[in-house]
Order: sequence, then C-alpha cells, then structure tokens
Amino acid sequence: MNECMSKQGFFSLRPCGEPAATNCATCSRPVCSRHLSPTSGFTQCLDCTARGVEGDALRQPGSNPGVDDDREWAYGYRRGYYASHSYAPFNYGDDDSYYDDYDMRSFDRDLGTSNAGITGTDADGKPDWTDS
Amino acid sequence: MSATGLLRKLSDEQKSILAAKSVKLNRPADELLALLKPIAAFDVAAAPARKQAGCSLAALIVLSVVVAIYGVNQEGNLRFVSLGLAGALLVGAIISGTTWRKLQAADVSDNLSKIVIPFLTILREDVAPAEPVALDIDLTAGDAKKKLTQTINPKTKGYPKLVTTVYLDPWFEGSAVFADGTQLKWKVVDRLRVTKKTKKNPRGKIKMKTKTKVRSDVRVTMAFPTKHYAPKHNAVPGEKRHEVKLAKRTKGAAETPQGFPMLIDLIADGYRKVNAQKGAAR
Repeated sequence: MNECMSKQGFFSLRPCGEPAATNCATCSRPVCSRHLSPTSGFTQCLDCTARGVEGDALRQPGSNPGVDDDREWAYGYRRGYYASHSYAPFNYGDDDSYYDDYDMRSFDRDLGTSNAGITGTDADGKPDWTDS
Repeated sequence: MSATGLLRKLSDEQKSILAAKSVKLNRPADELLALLKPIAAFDVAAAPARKQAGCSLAALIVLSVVVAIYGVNQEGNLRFVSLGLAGALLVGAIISGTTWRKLQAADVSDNLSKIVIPFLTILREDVAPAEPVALDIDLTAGDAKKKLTQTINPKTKGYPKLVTTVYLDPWFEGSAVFADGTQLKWKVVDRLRVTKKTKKNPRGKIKMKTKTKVRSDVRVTMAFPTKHYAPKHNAVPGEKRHEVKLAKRTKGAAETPQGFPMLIDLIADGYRKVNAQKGAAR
C-alpha cells in the first residue's frame, strides 16, 4: 500500500509515513485519513484545502477553538505563514514538488508525461518549451 | 450549546482546572488539546452569557422594585397581581444572579483560547505523537491582586486624578522536544499597566476612564542537535547541542494579545539561525 504523501510539521517538515487511505481528488497524491479535510467531505488533502482558503488562512487564531477543525486551521495557517513571513522550513525525507516555491502542479501531469497540448515551437524548432 | 450546558459537560479534571485556574501538566499535545479545548470553548461562550446575565440581573431588580412600589399604592386585585409580578421578577433576578456568579467564578483568562490553544495546535505538528509537552499556565486574570507590583498615586490632591497600577503576570511557561530532536523552552511574561483617570467637569460631575496597556515579553530557548543542524555562526566543535536564545517584546491593547504570533516568530527565527547537516533541505 502507498504511504501518505502529506508532510507533517510547521517549523520543519517530515513525511507522514502512515498508510494512505485514498487519493486526494485535487492533487491525486495518496493521503492517510488524518490528512484528509473534513470540510471537503474527506475527498481533498489538508494542503489542497489550505490552498483553497488562502485568503482566510491567517485569520485570528482561536476564534472558535472548540468548533473549528484545528488541523485544517493549522495547515491553512502554515501555508499563510510561509508566504507572509518568507519562511522556508527544512524538508526531511523525499523531495516533493508539491512544496516547491513555484506552484506548477496544475501543469505537472501534462509536462511529466508528454507535450500534450503544446502546439507551437520555440527557437530551436522543438515543441519542448525549455529554453527562454 | 449554551455556556451552562458546556460547563455541565466538562469532566471533573476540566472543572478542577477551572476552579484552580492553573494548568501544570506533562502530556502529549493531543491529550492536552483534548483536555483544554472544551475549557476554552466554554470560556468563549461564557463571556456574552455572563454579560447577558449581569444585565438581566440589574434590569430585573429595578423592574421588581418599580412594580412593587406601584403595587403597594394599589388596592384589591391590582395590588395582589402587581406584588405577585414583583415577586416573580425578583425570582428571575435571583436566577440571573446565580448564573452570573457561577459563570464569573469559572471565568479564565482569554489567553487560553487566543494563545495557548493555537500554539499547542501548531506545536502538535512538530512534536512526535507520544512525546509529552510540559505546560505551566496561570489562567487567572492579568490584573489579579496577587500580581500587583506597584501603585503610583497622584502627587497632588484634586482633579484630574491619575492612579497607575502595574501588574506582573508570568503566565505561560513550557517545554517540548520536536520530532527532529530540537529542544524548546518558552516563557511569556505580561506586564499590565492600568491607568485610572478621574476628572471633574465645571458642573461638578465626576467621570472616570480606565486604560489598560500590556507589554508582553516572550523568551524562547532552542537546543538544536548538532547531528542534524549546524549553527550558521560561532560553531563549537564537539558539543551535542547548539543553543539559541531569543527574546521579543511588544506593547499593545489588552484585547489583542500578541503572545501567539510572537512565539511562532521566535521559533521560526531560531530555525533561521541554523543550517541542516544532511537529509534535509530548505
């Protein structure tokens, strides 16, 4: 069985390592039940949910401590903090492009497999779009 | 759920924390959150309920006195009905008063919901699940009598009168070991400065204004294992841990405590002062 690809931690990140329960509906990564977001109906991972609520990610902590899902809040806060404080945590375990500075996830599936969707050519006449 | 309903649902241990208004525990972060979150949820719900009970108490007492005076001056059935109504209003006032006293006695500092719970929630992500987190929290109000350190009275008699009281509140202390082996200790000390200004206008009316300013001193000590981290400056060869001490101070209004972001910033600053040896990358 696949391992959960979500990263745990705030100040330094480490692999979760738990067996995956399902795949995230947005990023397709295998995720364990602890890293699935309740507000998405357990279909999205916490990182993808945090991306969705980015504007609200640094909301006043503890506004509803008994009601809010605290783990969801923590992942949203983590994402907002890294962006607003230019904080780059130490990343233990396998490098995961999900946490790269430049978010290219939406294009990953196409770029990783083929040149699907690329119709033009660049300076060297090949449709690889690698030189600038 | 209402505040009294939340209070009833608390366990014996949670009720004893509310009574003592202090927490001295050494348990995994998950257990600490499971214990403290219902207390914080009750405290958040209790604040407006307490205010409502206090206002009801005052309004019902006034109303019962007015109705009783009106009833005494009446005769026959109207007198009987009015005095009965005044009695019912008095019973309502007693119930409101009892609720207010109960909620007032169980009131804990907002620092629990605004600083401790968010900080523990973040800390839980970095601490291994079975690893205990040591907490020492004083949840009494920052301007409690035992915390009073100084009273500055006006030098001259007459108005305007300015009385300043200073309170020292070392309310939050703890330690934890992160999953990467880094040891963390922290301490938060608040210094409250309460200024009461009394002035008299030309018509002889006396007005009073109270202002509270809080200065938070946060100290963090981090010991990074040299096996995983190398200090950016002043490396001491052979030592097992590299210690980093950080401190920050902010001033602000009592309603917006800054302890939580200050703690997070200081720990993040600690990590900025080291480089990873191997197996990790930024």
